[in-house]
Parts: sequence; C-alpha cells; structure tokens
Amino acid sequence: MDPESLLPLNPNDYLILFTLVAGERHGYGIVKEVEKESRGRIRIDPANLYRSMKRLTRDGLVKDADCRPAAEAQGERRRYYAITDFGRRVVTLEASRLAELVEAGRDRKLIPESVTDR
Amino acid sequence: MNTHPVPERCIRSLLRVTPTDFREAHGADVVQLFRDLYREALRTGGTGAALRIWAHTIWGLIVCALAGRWEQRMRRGKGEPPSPWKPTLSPKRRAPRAAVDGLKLDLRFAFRTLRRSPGFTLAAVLILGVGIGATTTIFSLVDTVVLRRLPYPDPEELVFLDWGYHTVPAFIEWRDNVGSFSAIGGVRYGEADMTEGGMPERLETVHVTEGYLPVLGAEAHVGRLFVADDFAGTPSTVLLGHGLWQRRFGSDPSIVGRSIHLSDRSVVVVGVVDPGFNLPSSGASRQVDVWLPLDENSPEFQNSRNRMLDVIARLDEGVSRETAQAQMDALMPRIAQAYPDQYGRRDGSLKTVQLLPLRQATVRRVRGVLYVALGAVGLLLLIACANAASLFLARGTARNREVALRAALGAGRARLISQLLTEGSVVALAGGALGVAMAFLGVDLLSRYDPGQIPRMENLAVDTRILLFAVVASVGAGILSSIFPALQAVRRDFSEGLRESSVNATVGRGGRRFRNGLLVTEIALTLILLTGSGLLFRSLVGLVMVDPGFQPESLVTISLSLDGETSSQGGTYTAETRVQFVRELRERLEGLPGVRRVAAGWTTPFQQTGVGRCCWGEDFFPEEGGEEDSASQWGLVYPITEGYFEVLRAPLEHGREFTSTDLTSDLPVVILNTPLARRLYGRTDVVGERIRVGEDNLLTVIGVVEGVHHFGLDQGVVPGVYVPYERWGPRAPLLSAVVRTEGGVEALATGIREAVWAIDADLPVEQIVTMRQRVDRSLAAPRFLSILFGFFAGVALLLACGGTYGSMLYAVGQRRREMGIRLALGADKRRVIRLVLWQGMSLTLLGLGLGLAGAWGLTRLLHSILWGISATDPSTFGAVTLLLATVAGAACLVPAWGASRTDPLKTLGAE
Repeated sequence: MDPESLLPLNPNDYLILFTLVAGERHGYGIVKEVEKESRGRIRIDPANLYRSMKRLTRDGLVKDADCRPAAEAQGERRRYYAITDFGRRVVTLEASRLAELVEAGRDRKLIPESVTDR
Repeated sequence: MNTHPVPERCIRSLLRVTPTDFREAHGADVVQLFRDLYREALRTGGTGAALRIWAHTIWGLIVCALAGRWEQRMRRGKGEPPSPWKPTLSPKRRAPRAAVDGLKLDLRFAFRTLRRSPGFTLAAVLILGVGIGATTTIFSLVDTVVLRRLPYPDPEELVFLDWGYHTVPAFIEWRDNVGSFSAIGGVRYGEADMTEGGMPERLETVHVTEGYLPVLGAEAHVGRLFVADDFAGTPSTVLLGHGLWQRRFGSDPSIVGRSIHLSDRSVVVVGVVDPGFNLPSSGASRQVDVWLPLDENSPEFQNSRNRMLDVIARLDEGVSRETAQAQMDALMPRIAQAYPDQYGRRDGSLKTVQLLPLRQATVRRVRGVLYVALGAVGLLLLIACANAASLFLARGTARNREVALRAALGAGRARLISQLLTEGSVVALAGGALGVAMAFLGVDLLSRYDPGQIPRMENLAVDTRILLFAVVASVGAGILSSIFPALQAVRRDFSEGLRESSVNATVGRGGRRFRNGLLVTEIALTLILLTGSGLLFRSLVGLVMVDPGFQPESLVTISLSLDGETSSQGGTYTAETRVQFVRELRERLEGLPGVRRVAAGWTTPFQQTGVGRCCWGEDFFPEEGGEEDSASQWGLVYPITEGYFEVLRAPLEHGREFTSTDLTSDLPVVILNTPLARRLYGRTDVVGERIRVGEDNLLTVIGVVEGVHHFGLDQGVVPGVYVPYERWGPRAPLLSAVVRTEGGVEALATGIREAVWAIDADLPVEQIVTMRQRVDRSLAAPRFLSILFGFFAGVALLLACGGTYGSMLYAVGQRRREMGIRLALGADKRRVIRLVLWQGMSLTLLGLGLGLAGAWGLTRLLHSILWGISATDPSTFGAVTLLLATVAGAACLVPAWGASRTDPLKTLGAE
C-alpha cells in the first residue's frame, strides 16, 4: 500500500504511532505517554484507543508484540504493541507533512517566536 | 486494591452496544485498560479523578459505538450485500392473535394510558424509585452480611468456641476428647516483617493449627496447603495470601519452593491460598498476608497464660450443637483443674465455653444495627407507597367517567381491578428499574464509606438475589399503592359516574377517608424516621463535643514494634537497646524542621478504640489501706516518656510531669489520672501519697492528670496510672510516639520514616497518622449511621411535604365550588384560608400524635447505638415534631392561599 494514501493521519493515530516509535508499549503505556507528551492536554479514552489500534493493525502500521507482565498493573499480563516498518514510514511522512504546515504557518507569522522556542 | 464493580460493570454493559467485531477483538482490553486507569486515578487523584476517567471512558464508548454503526451503514450503502445468514425483519407486522390473554391486554392498555399522563407517571415512578432504591441498597447490605450463607462448605456445621482467646492446652483437650467434632482448628493473629527486596513491610500473619484450613475448606490457588510435617518445630514453611502474592511477587507461580525472609528467618513458600478464601471475622475482614503453621509443642504456645487462639470446629454429620455442648461442658472440670486461673471463677464455679453457630458469632455485633437500618428504610418505602397511593387515588377520581364507561360496556369489576393493578405494577416496576440503578450507586457509596467494622463488606454487590428482591419489592409496592385506589374506583355507582361531569366529580366519603388516612400515615411514619435520625444526630454531636482531654490538632503519631528474641516474630531488641532506641528516636525527630517536641509510650490515645483495653492492667491499693479486695482498684498502666503530657497538651490538675531526674532517682514515681485518684482517695489532690502495686512496689504520686480519653470519645476515661517508660516500658516491644508539630503535618511522613530507618533500617514504619485522623476514624461508625438515617429522614420529609401539598391541593380542588359559593356570599378570605388550613393541620396533628406514639415504642431499638442521650429524649422528640408540623403547615398554606383567591364567577360559571 502507498503510505501517502493514508495521510493525513487521524490525530489520535499519529500520537499513538509517535509513542510507539520509542519502543513497544501496552494500552496503558500509550495512554500515559500521550498524556505526558501533550502535557496532560490529550487523554485518549480506552474505547477510542482500541478503535485506533484496530484500524492501525488492519492497515499494517502496528502489530501485536506479545503478552507480558506490566509493572504498574501489579505484574498482570498485558498485550504489547509495536510499530511496523511500514508504520514507521507513514509516521515519518506525517511528521514531515506537519513540519511543512508549521513552516508555512511560521512564514505567515501565525506562530509567535516564543512558542516555537519552547 | 479493591476492584470497583459498579464502574467496571457499567463499562462492560456499555461495550455491548459497540460493533461485534470491535467488541470481540478488544472488549477485554478496553475493560482492562479502564481498570488500570481507574485504579491509578483513584490512587493519585482520589474519587474525583476516578469519576472523570469513568465518564471519559463511557463517552468514548458511546462515540465508538455511534461511529461503528455509522461505518457499518456506509459500508452497506456502498453495495455490500446483506448477509444471507441474517434474515432481515419483515416489515409486515404480525396479525394480532385471536386470543390475546388478559395480562397482555392489560399491559398494553396500561402503557398506553400511562403514556397519556406523563406528569403523573413520572412523579409516581420517581417516588417509588427512591423508596425501592434505598430499600434495595440496605437489603443488599443485610443480605451480604447477615442472611447469606458463609462462604465455606456446609457452613451450618461450623461452630465458634465463644469469646475466642483460648489457650493451646485447652484446645488440645477439646480436639482429643470432644467426639462430636469431625474437625477442629485454631488460629492466632500476629504480625511479621518482610525485608524481602526493598522497603521493609509489616505483614498480617496468622498461625494456624493443622485442622484449621481443612475445617473451613480452604484450597490452594498455587502449590499446596500445609501437611502434617509442617507443624513440627519452628515454622519453616509458609503459605502466601493471594494479595501479597500479587503485590510483592507479581503473581509469579514459581514462588512455590523458593524461600523468603520473614522477620530475620528464612522460610519456604509452599503455596498460595485461594483468593476467595477469607478468615471468618466479626469485624472488617482481615487480609491475611502470610499463613504459618502453629507448633503446639513450642514453649510459647504451651504456656497456659497465653490465651490467643480463636477456635472453630465442625460438627459431625447429624450431631446437634446441644450434644457437642454437653461434651464440652463435661470436659470443663478437668480443664479448669489444670488451669484454674483461666477457666475457673474466683468463687470456684466454672466458666463455660459456649458453642455458637459461626455465622451468629460473626454478625452478632452488627446484626441489630443493620436490622434497625433495614426497618428504617422499610418505613421509607411505606411512606413512598402511601405517597404513590394518593397519586393513584387522585388519578382514579379523574378517570371516573372512563371507568364507568368501560363498566357500562361490559367490563367486570375483576377485570377493572386487574387493569388498575397492572397499571400500578407497571409504574412500580419502572420505579424498581430506577431503584436498581440507585441501588448500584448506593452499594458503591456504601462500600466506599465503609465504616470499617462490618464483616464481609468486600462481598457487597448487586447480584441476582438483590435484583430479585428489587422486583418483589417493586411488585409489592405497586400492589400496595394501587389496590385501595382500584377498589375505591370500582366500588362506586357507575351510573352516577356517567352522569357526573368531570368538573365536580368527588371521591365520596370512603375515598376521602382513605385519602386522609394516607396523609395521617405518611406524617406518622415520617415522624418516626425523623425522630430516629434526630436522636442519632444528637448522639453524634454529643460525641464530637466530648473533650478528649488533650489537643489532637497538629499531632502526628507513629506506631512501631521493637521485637525481641522471645517474641514469635523474632527480633534483636533487648530492654537496653529499646531505651536507647527511644532516646535516639526522640532526638532525631525533634531535629526535624517543623517538629516542636516528641514523646513516646507503649500506646498513645485513640490507637485502639472500642471496648478492648490494652495492654497492662493492675490492682492498686492506697498505702495505708489493707490488702482487702475492697480497698483495691483496678487500673491500666501506661509506660510513658517525659514530655508526654506536654506534647499531648493534656493539663495536669496537680503536681508535675516526669523529668529526666525521675528516671535515675531511687524513688519510683507515678502519675494518676483523676478517675483512679477519686476511686482510691475520693479526691484528686493526692500528690505525695503512695500507692501499692503487687507485692512490694510502692509508688509515690507526683502528679494527677485530668482525663485523657484513650479508647475513644464514647469510652470515658479509664482509671489508670502513668509510669516512666525507662523503668517499666522496655520489657515489651510496644512503642508509639507522638509528635507535636508547628502546623503542617503531611510533609513530615517522609522525614519521620527516614529518621526511624536511620536508627534501624529494617524496622517497618507502617502507621504514620495524624491524631485528627485517629479521632475521626473512631467516629466513623456513628457518623455512618447518622448520615444514613439523615438521608432516609430527609427523603421522608420531602415525600411527606409533597404528599401533604398534593393532598391539600386536591382537597381544595374538590371543594372549589364550595369555596366559590362561600366567597360569592361574602366570606372573608382569611376565613377560607383558616378553613383549609384547619382541614390539613387536623390531619397533620393526628399523624404527629400517632407518630410520637410509634417513635416512643420504636426508638428503643436504637438504645444500644446511642451515646449520651436517652432513646426517648424529650427535646429531640419536641424538635422533630415542631419541624414536621412547620413543614406540613407550609405545605397546607400554599393551597389554602390559592383557595382564598378562587374567582367565584369562574368556578360557578364552569358548571
């Protein structure tokens, strides 16, 4: 499948892929990481997380890793997800697409300097 | 950590509306993730954060479900053929069958008529829903705690050897000689420290005899239970509780066979106990972390003064409890001869050990209170029924013509009654559905505000039994509230009903009497509930107002256990090192920023509340008095360090506190509290007197302290003496420190832990609590009851108010013609107001009279849970009567005022 055909990504899908780039995570890990990365502004609810996961798995962007105990779940087993090579290509393309948008916004003086510096 | 069944169940049921393929692939994941997030939110952000997670997840599920359906439709729209496996519903409606049975017809008719008057339906459903919801909630509590069989095999064969705390030698006598027992086992509660990997942790342990786990039918979740070999010698094997296994060992099944460190001893784990297995308990359930085998031959357990065993036995099949009791009684002389101080009384008679059914033994403390609560909520349901009944009655009158018409067309009376009862039941079942929703919420609230003294609270949930109860209660309430109105409606002369215009339709004398009866009943029942609630509230206020004898604000308490070699936990402390530890602890804590002063003792106030008395009691004699029993007074002994009263800010009435010189001087000194001083000397200025303890201890009184409440605000000040810790304290591992801070107490916990660990890195510091928390905790049970009753009474008051208002409005409507004529003939408006008011208030007064009589009889049941107030306290009775009279008066006044403004022309013209 042509990675371009999946763009632009749904914002939630982008954030999920974004967190998986750093390594395998389970559902709880993804939610927490997204929350941290967005400074607490974005919180994905369980149902929509797994709706995204289902879509991303169907499109081959994400695959099931394995089931293993998770620390914060008191050692109970959780299903982990990993990003596929295809998924990595898609998220890279999406990131550069977003970067272009930001660039364009900066050219039009839509973004104050202080925000970009942060 | 508890799972929270209600939110999770809610999520599970919502999942059902999501598309099938999504649910099958990820349903379990969604629930699991929700559980993780919910737990974390509850831990870090409290209830508010958890509720936000819940709402967020529910919202997400709804979005997900809608989006899924929409996608499906889009897909279908794109021309996917409908699945051949799913036949579409034929648009043609089925022809009505020729013989539709009566019930079906009734139901359909009921739905249709109810839909036509939504205001009435909504009001009736709401009223009954509140009543059924509250009743169902309390019933689920009573059912879980009192009615349900205990979760053990054949629980009715189990008996408890009363009062617990038996000695091991006596236990062995019973085990070997009582033939009626098929099995018998004992358990002894304790604690141990686990230093395994990282932070030391204090664990709840139990030692069990060989028979104990089999008696209760316990099973191993992983590994095995104990076998005979485990019980010989110092325990070298243990079983883990399921909670500890999950918490500390990550549910790892390979733990079996590994050894762990428990209080400086290495023991081998042989298994994990099934998570569903709990010890029977008469209070809040204990979460046992570690199970140890009890070696009957160890010197500690052979000691006949060591009363520590709770004993449970199983009766042989077909053997009655009386037979077993007789065998127990027959053994008593022999046991009492061997251990006279344990099982004999002073006058030489024998104590008996009563066999109690195990369930009775676990619930006897709370059963009375729970039944009182159930009674109260039952009253509330009755009030709701009365309220709904008057609604039905009003509606019945309005439908006079309809009923008469149907009768004229050939409907039999039975048919009509059944129709009206069906309507009532439909309304009540809708109310029941609302009630069940409320019960889910109520049960969740109950388990969250668990006052901590009710056994098996963790099993509290709304299940099929409870739902069945709700259905039965609903149908009962429906019939109760609609049967009289239905009878009323068909008793009349139908030809009259057809002739009458609906404007001046009246209920007739019977109907009016019934309506008045309802109002009187409602007022009376409400007064009973209000009185109960008022008494409990006054009792709580009285308790809160009790002066604890010290200032609990800005105090932090720490409980430690400096175990020595002789204790079963094992430890390294001796008398000398304990004194040294206490000195060093005080120095280090006083060095912390924000700390003013620190003192310590065996125990500090409110550490243990209730009727138990810890830990050391003695008989005291005034020096000049003889050795006769009459002169001696029993009192508790509290070993304390210097500064104890200064830190507590407990005022001394006479004399002074201990100082460091008292520790080294040869003269043993003591501080009395006022109750003991009064009992010994009849006065409190006894500084300089000497009291005798035991054989040859003569103590000089250097101070008298006013009452420090040690065991709870409701427990009074127990007579007692305070002695220097350094002289009397170090022989036991007990230690509790109390820290006077300069305000902020939350930030101190870490500093305190570090200070303790700087002295002894392996000492667990579990309990760092503010004194305020301790005092609040001791009030949890009365507060719980007070809130519960307050809620019931509030709802009852609201219902009574609405009922009175509706009833009077209706009565005024009925008499509109009369009012119109009176006004047209020149009656004064005030006279009309007085007329209507009097009609309402005479009924109210009758209700209040009956209610007072009822309350007089019923509040006695509260006697055991009231504190410092009589169950027939006149001022409470007066206040609630006045309150209810005022509310009812206000509810009558509005319709009365409305009546006085009747326009005579309009009313009369309407004819």
